[in-house]
Amino acid sequence: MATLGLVLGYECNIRCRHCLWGDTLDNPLRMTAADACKYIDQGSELEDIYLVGFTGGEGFIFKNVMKEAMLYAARTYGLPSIVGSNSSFATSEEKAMRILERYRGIGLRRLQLSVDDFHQEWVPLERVRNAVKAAISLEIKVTLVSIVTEKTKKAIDYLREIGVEEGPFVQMTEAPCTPTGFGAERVPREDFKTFDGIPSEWCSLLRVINILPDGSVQLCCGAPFSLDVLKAGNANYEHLSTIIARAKDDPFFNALSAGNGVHYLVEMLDELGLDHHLRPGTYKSSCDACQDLVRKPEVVKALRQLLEKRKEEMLIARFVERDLPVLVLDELVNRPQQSATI
Amino acid sequence: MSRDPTLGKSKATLTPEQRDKLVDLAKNDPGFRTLLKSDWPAAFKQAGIDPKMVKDSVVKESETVPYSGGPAMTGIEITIEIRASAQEERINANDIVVFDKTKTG
Repeated sequence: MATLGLVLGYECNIRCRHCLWGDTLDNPLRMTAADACKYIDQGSELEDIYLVGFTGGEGFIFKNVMKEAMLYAARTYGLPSIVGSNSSFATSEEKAMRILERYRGIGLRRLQLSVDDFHQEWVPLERVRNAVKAAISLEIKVTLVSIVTEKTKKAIDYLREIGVEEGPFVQMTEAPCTPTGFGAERVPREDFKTFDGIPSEWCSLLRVINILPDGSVQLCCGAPFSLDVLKAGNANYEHLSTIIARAKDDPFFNALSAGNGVHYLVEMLDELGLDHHLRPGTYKSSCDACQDLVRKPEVVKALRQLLEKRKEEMLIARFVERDLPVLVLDELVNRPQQSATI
Repeated sequence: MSRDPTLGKSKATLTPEQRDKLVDLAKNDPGFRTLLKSDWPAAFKQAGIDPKMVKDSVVKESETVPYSGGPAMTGIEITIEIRASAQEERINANDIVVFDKTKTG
């Protein structure tokens, strides 16, 4: 884990046609400042939380709760913050500077800004440029995130259009669009890249903690995140540390994490004679393959029965595949004089 | 792109026998799992696996990684990068400037 992500609400000022939240954007539920601070208290007790994330919907819609919780995290625990935004707030570079400077004063150190064909149907690219330039001036690190299909412009194209290069304060990342939420209805099927076989190349499970406005703890931030099967508990009823400890021991979560997706689950479905549930050659991303499998209760039930017998195997697999490289690299990064390779 | 396709590919560092040994210990030794979490080199030694070999192998596979990442909120591999810069980003109480809530957009 690295970030405690707080989804402050679902409201957004735009309606991107790829949005995985879909109709959930109309849900008026919001996290209270008291709850946000309570989750930060609990998150600070976890040994590996380094950053508090605020998002929505559009993060800046929830500014009052966000300010209070951001200040609380910084003042109480010295924790820096990241905000996820579509840059609508940055109507000019001066305004972006004014807003971000104040947030920097209470702990904002990173911004995650969406930039892709879908968001830019609603938000002028100029606003993203304003936000990026203001952030760089204030030494706030920016991660630009592009959701792409076969037909859209790619992250590198936007980097060029914005006129910045990747460096210490600007990073760029790209993720494939997945047909879920609005993306399932409003993005033409032929626009999606289709993978050969069953993609299992990336999974966020057990790498992120997202707490939803109702207190649900979600350890996945991909397309299947809204499925109950991937919820780890509710922080309003249990302490976050209890939920996380249980999740790290859960063979279903460990299998997804270790396999960078459904790799191990696919092997087990073969073994169980349930491979007819798979649709190789049709999936649009690792998340798409996952959501197709885990939304079927009979598949999850059968897999869980088998996984219970392989609990330790999955725990070790997750440790070796995911945790170990991070531990080793982490050690080297924190002691760079010992590393000539990084 | 920041996302690194090789990060996490440490399978080659362990033989099937070594992996089985780790699984066996995790199953039968209640202290082993705790040790794995707190001191993985010691846990690997207990399993008869040279941690240096594992470390060298992981580094070798990851040496092209600029350890940069994306946002953890979207789950991209930022863990290492965040940890690396955690100290510099830690907020000092003296640096906090509380602003007037009513004046900021």
